[in-house]
Amino acid sequence: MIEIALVILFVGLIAIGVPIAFSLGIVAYTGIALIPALPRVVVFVRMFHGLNSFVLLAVPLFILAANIMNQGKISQKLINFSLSLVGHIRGGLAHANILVSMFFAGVSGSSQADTAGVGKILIPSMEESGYDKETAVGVTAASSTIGSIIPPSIVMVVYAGISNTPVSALFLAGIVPGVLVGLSMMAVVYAVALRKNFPKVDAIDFRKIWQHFKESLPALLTPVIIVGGIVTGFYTATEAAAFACLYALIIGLFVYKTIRLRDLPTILIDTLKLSSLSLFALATASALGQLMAHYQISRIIFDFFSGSALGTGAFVGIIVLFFLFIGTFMDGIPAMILFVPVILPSARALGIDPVHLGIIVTMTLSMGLVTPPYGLCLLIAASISNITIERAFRGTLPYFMVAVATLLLVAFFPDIVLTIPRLLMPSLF
Amino acid sequence: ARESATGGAINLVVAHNQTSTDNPYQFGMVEFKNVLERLSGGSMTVTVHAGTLGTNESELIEQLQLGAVDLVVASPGFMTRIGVPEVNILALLYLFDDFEHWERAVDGDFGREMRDIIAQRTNNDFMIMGYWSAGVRHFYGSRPIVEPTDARGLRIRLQDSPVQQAFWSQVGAIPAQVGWGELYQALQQGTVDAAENDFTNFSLQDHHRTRNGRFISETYHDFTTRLLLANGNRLNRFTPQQQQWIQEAAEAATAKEREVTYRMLDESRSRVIAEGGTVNQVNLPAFRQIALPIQDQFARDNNMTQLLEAVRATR
Amino acid sequence: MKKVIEGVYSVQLAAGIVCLAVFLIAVLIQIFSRYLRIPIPWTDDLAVYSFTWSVFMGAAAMVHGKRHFAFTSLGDTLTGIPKHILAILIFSAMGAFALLMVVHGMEAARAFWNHQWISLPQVKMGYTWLCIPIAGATMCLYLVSHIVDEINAIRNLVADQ
Ligand code: NA
Ligand code: NA
Repeated sequence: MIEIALVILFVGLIAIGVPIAFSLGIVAYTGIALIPALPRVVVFVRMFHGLNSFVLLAVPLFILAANIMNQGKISQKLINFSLSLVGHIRGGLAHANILVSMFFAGVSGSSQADTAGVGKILIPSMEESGYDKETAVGVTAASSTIGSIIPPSIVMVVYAGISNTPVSALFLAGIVPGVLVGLSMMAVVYAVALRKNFPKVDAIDFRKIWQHFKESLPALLTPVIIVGGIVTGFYTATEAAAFACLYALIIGLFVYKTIRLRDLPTILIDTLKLSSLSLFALATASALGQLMAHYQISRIIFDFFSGSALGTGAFVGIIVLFFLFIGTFMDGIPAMILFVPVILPSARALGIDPVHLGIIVTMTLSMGLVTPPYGLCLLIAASISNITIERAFRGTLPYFMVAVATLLLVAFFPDIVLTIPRLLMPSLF
Repeated sequence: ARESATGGAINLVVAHNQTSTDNPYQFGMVEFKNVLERLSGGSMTVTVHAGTLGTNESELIEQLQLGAVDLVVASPGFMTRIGVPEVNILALLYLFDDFEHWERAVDGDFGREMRDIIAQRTNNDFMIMGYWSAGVRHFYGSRPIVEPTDARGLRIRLQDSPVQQAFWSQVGAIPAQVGWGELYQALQQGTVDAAENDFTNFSLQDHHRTRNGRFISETYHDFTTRLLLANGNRLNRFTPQQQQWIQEAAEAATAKEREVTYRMLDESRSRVIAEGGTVNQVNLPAFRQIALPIQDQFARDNNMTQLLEAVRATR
Repeated sequence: MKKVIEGVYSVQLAAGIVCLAVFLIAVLIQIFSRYLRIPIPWTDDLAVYSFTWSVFMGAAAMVHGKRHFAFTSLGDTLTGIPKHILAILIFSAMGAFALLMVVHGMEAARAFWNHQWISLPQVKMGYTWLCIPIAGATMCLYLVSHIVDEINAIRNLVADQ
């Protein structure tokens, strides 16, 4: 009874427009206040400790690294390189848009940074070249979800922290699914481009490719430095993020010379703004998590799945549907804080590898970045092109569908995900 | 303690920080639940939380202090955090010779004295209900060590405990900071050269299969103590009869926890060897020799010389 | 009044970025100290707690700029006085939670005041816990100012009619 009232309260608060972070906190507080003799201060103790995890420190650091890179005009260089590679194909700008998101994904742990950085440049130039607005926005928003799948990934870092899974294994596991999503989106672009007769940019020119490659090399090396450094043990995931900041700063200051020291406070403010929004929501979600722990929700879920005849397939299917639904109205990070601990015991009992589960959850929640009403990448891209969310989502739909298809493929064939980590880190499995 | 919705039974919430349910803590807490529910004839019920109320011991301690939880397990290191440095005596290396010695000490005058010190220093917020153990800790690293000098120059991952850091620094090793969750990677890839823990703990994480974790040198440097803690002030609100039941259940839980710990110890050691870990003996007197002055120093600094002598005398 | 609020906001933002910078430097020191084989145990605590502070300061500053993620669909369909009344309702709900952050944040800070950092026993945890009530108090300040703005807007609308 109380549980239902709390759900109604939560939905009501969100529907009238109370920020998600505060809605989570208010519901947690109300729920804990309703449990006799459980002190209310527990809500705030849990908020504090929700942030008190060494792995979470990577979140602002990855955002900072991406912001330094953006300030350093890295996105422009990556776009030039991508265009020189795929510009000659029909729908070249759209292909380049997807390809650059794959490159940028290796630099950044955050999809929003990709939509903002790349979209600002590519959406206007696609529109000028004759693409319809839906396609420009749709391709940009959909492809930036790859940012959370190809390592580094903030979502994976948070998952690792909750589930005690090595971040390095998750990072390695994300490579193939991320590339698959990118390639399948490019296939859709190719089909649409033939039908709508999208323009090519110009003929292929190997000298240009080489020149743009050289210019973007420092950026292209970032994923090698981050993932390579973690896998070879030079540093832990959190330290890798700090090191990425240092690296981005050095190339921005001394190689590209696009950053000046007096830009730093602005970069730090932008980072503080973006990261504290997610992390404050994470803190209040942790408080709500305590309430759910109190009601032993994970026990209930566990008993349900172990008592029913549902197999692994049905479980995975339910998880995908559930997180797709949650992703329509909630940020990925608090969603994971709330629900990963709840499903983890059942997944373990069913023999699902936690790394595989992490990739499923990461991919599903990254889909949530483009589903209305609350899809951050969709909102950012739509506002760049100044169209309604409905039109933007219509443009995103074909790419969204093919991403969901890839997600299902990955969900039901764990080997796609696990082969690389098994190969490079055999002792983990 | 809180009235549950069903028929006025009193519900106690007990918690530990291990998410695995195949863990001595969990066996101990389930025993507490079974015994208390049986003794009270169902008028008291228990909810066991395995890691769900926080995997961080500081947080469990704080929730106990606030009264959100009735019973938690914590390592002595966390009590120093709340301003009771004396409790660090339990973290001193080579304080105990074996588990028999440990049991004689903690179940005897020394254990009672520690309980009184903690209760007094925390205004009864923390009451020791039983002394649990998380096994005996050994060194494991990229090469076997026999003499203390063999560890010279190795980067060793340690717990945040000044007395432990003092010991390994004295040996010539270099303490390094790595989170427990990141340690497997750190050992596998060479971020650190060594670590120290008990067979059950490190073998559950497969550390013995890593490049820098496969040589286990049985240093027996720490027969660990874990504290089963209740909030004394909240305990006083129960009737004497109820307190009696809780006390008895805690004793049963303690016996169970120790039994499982000892059993798992042997099982884990065999498993580690079967899975390719190399185990060697060390020159124990040489290691102990290094620990003694650190123990003396600690006792002088904290006015505990008599207590230290008492522990040594229970050998 | 506005001047005071802007001043508080600037100080808070500055505190947030200083904490962020301290945190980044602490993590970098940790990497290098390990490679230079010089143990510096306090980097761990310093990193975690400056991080916590930066999140709470940042989150409070974001209330000033009304940047927290929210659904705006309902507000978007409204115009005139109902829109402002809805805004007051939302700010009040946020304010209630912010007020609880002050009350219980102080309670936690008091309860754990004498707890210490493990690596630096001289540092009391009480200071660390203060980030919650400080964030709550500044959020309240910004929210009161937002509510006043909304009330003024309603007054103007009424006056126009
Ligand atoms: Na990425
Ligand atoms: Na893109």
